Amino acid sequence: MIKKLALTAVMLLLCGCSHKTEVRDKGFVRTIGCDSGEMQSVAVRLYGQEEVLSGSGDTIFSAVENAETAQGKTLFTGHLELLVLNPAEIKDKLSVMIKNNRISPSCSLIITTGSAADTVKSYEEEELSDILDSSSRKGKIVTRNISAVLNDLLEDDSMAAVPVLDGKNLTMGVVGYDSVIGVLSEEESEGLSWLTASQHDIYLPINVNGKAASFHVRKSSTRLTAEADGDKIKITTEIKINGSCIEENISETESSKAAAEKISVLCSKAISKTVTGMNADVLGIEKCIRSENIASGQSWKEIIPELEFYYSIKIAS
Amino acid sequence: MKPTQLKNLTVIPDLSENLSKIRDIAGGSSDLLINEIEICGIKVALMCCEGMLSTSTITELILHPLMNIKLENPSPAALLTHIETRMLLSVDRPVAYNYEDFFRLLNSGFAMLAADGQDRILAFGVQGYDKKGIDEPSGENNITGSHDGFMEVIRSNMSLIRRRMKSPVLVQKLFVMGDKSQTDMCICYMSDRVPSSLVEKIMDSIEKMDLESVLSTGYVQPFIEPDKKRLFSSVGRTERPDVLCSKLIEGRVAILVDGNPFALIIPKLWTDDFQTVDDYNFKPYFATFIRWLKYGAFLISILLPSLYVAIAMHHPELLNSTLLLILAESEQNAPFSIIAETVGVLLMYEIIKEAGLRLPKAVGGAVSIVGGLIIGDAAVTSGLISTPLLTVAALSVVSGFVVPDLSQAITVLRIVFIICGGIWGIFGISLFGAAVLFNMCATGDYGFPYTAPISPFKAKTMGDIAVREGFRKMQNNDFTVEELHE
Amino acid sequence: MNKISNAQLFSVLFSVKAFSLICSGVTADASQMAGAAISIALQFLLAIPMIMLYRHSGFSLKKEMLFGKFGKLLYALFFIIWGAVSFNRLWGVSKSVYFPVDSSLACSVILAAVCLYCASMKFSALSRSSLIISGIFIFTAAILILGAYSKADLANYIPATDFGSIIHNAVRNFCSSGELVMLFILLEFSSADRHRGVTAFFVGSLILTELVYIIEITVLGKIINLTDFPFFTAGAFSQPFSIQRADSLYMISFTLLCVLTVTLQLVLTSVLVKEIVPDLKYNTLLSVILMLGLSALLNSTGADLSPVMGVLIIMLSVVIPVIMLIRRIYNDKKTGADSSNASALRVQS
Repeated sequence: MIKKLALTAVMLLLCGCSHKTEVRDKGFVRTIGCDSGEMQSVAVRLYGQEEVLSGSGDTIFSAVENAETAQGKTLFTGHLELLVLNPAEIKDKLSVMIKNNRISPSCSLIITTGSAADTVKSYEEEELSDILDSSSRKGKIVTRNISAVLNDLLEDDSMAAVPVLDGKNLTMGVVGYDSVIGVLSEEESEGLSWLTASQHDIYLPINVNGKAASFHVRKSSTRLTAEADGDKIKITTEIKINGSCIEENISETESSKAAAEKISVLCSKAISKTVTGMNADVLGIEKCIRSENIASGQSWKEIIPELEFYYSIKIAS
Repeated sequence: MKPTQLKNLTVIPDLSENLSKIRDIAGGSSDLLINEIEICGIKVALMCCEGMLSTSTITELILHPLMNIKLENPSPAALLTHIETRMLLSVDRPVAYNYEDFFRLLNSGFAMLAADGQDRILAFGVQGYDKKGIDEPSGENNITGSHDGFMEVIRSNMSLIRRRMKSPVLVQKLFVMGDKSQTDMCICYMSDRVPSSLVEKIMDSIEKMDLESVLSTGYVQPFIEPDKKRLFSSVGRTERPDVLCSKLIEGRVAILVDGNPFALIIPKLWTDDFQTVDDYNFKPYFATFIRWLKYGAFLISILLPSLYVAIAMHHPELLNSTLLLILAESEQNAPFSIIAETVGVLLMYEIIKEAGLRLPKAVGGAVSIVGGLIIGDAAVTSGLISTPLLTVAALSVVSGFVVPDLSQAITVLRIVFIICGGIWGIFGISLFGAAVLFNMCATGDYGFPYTAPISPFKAKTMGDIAVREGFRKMQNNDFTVEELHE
Repeated sequence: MNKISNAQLFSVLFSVKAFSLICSGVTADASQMAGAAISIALQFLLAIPMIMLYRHSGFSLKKEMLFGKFGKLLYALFFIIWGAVSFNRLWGVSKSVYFPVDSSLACSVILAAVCLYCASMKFSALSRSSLIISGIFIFTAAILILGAYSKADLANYIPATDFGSIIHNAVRNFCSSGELVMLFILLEFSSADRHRGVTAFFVGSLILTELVYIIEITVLGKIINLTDFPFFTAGAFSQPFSIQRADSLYMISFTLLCVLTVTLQLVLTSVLVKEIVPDLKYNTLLSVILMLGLSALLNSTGADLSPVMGVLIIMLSVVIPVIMLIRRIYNDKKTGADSSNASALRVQS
């Protein structure tokens, strides 16, 4: 009996050792915009609320905590949908975010050339996420989550491809540890999308014999292969497309040829801007080469001049 | 006077002395009927207990033949010998030599014949008391199985079993327990299937029972289930003769108690609660589907409310955004803490259920209306309880109905799990879950683990646990519980 | 203590191994995988003398323990240290993964209370529970694999080439494998055909270790270097269902395995302590207090007990069993020679 009472007493005492917060006392964070300067300043947007909370602190989390006081609710970042950062201390901030166990690793990332906090404030509640999603669906950009970007930044080249918001223009860009190395044009950004992600249900504008037409891509998949070719390394991007031209009076062969040409041009533009222009391995070329045991012992920078790019675009209707 | 004392009090060869003793022991009880008559000039007394025997039977089968006896040399010994050897007045004809046996037989509905100068009293089995007819079991309903259930009379129950198992290896041993109640009990087993020492061990446990009365199986259960610290019972209970027979074939032992329409089954396994008669009448694929549905329902009934509380309070990241927002919005105006709300709803349900059970059927329906419509609807409309929570509680309660035999454990565990989940989240649920699991695994009497055949794992039995094999496969699987003995 | 079957021996050891694996803070890489494989193979070889020892007729560890009570004390001490290390692992995980308990100490005390309750049951309850808990863990691992399938990038796996690093990892893995010591004690309670359970454990252990490492490497990529507990981070990244973070889900498996491990250590300690001091009361409670105290001390000083554990593992699972085996073989030969001399004398007479 004494044992049971003692055990009950211990358990009752330990009941106090719990951090309970009722659901109604929690604010669920949807978007965070964070600017690094001398202090970290954040703009926090919650689910179902128009008001944007602001706060600043030494770290991103202390800044979020300070924003919390204005709202009176405990801010819960586990459902963070979008993180907007300015180009300073990108890697450090992402590392902290990943190490903090309450942030979803699948949270999307946008880098702004201006102030991230102001960007969050200037868009409506879901507007920024919607722009990101719709651009990604149209094959204009590729959405990247914080874990994937951090993984890329930890690679040897220390660069990652991320959607960059330049003014009101959202395209892909290449970022380093704490800077934006370059912003891609719309065409280059589209090319990068073809190179890195599968496309679904998009309409590609093509030109067949001087006549504008739309090529409907139902589904596409991309595969990268590396092959030693003398002192060169042959990188082949194989893109398999299932699609057809919408216009009925254009032949299947001609439209497919035009689509393949268009995609090749877009891809080569993206490659020349990122790999050749910025020395950035945003396609995972190095991993691909290493897995084939080619150029072992050479650094990424030594490999770049040896690379030759080929595109194999296969279209089936 | 105690029955043990009555045992030592033997019948003496003096009728008037015997009758005064009987009247004295009975204390003037009105249901004791003594008819003193003379047969062939010998004083005899025919005694019976009013209401315990059939009047027409006793008149036709006992009184008429007795009054027509004609002896050449009448003497008390010759009379009783004549009745015993020449007249088949009833099939059941025991003889009482002491007052313990006399009163037990008398009060069981036997007609007792005492003769002057004889130290024995003849008994004739002419029981004919009022009893309920064989009815459909109230708690173990099924669609395709038989629709007869046990009743309150032990001998009828024994016959229900015998009707299904005509083999001579079915042993049904009657014995009497309870100093005052003198209740008939019966232990049943298949002598070729039952583990050798199981019957002995159970009888040893029963003999240690020193109760004044045995009015229900619940009186016996604690004595054959010695480990009292367990959450789950290792003794099963059924009111269906077909279920009992299937258990006997598996080498289990059953105990019937007179006056109770339930039989106890030893040993019981956790998986037994998920098997029903219908499983064996449905197609195997459907029975398998239903069985897994029941396993799932058991988990839902215990864990769903606690997981809801734990996720809402501590781990909202486990929900997707849409679900979370629905939950958050509904809880926005609830005045109570989510733990209090959940425990409150479940306690309210238990109160309504208890009220519905104990009240007359006509009023019971009204309780459901008051509980379900008025309280439930009003609580949600007024914002006292959130709709998702009520849905979760209802789902959990309904799932609990799928395994009614485990309802006692489910009811209590559900509430403790909610408290643990509310305080320490999934960590608390897992910790308490570990404690329950250890408790379950420690359950098992007479060397039969309650968690068998899952742990210890017996692959051979999975044909009727993980799935429900067809009878073609099962007929070769000569399973007895002895295989699970540790 | 009751006898345990081969399946139960496997499941008890497998669960303990799984616990140490999921709260291992070591960064997984290819050399780690190779090192673990070598270490497990070595452990399997070292288990052979143990099985041989128990095959000798009438052998009982209780009666024939090397150095008698002092030997038993060493084993009890090992289990207390290991128990403290297990609590320390819980502290680490509770800091890294979200635990809704105010302090890590409170977390440990709650767990200790549950373990005390579990240890108060029969040993058969523990062995039966282990089978169910290992089943739950395998189910969890299957969910992890399912979620990891789409997230895993095989390009993250770079084959190991540095032999020195492989050997270093093998030694480190061996020094954290207390299961070998536990195996030596548990063999006393296991039924015949012990080799089946032991072989199954080492095969299972090898598969599990390599599987967990490959998931961590392929899912996390370079991020693996940033995390304290890669298993949980891999769980969070893999997201099997439409949820934000799945690591809370793996908390169920983790807690069950933790309860089982600590309970087992408590039960074994209390059995050994009871043999050393038969009249001592509340030995389970004392053992858990010692474990908690040592764990608090380790946590506050930041001391690393791995070298001590390594030395103890080598002594208790290699040196002592081998000496006992040699002693037993020598004694058997001596007894055989004596009896043959005696029978020769009887023949002569």
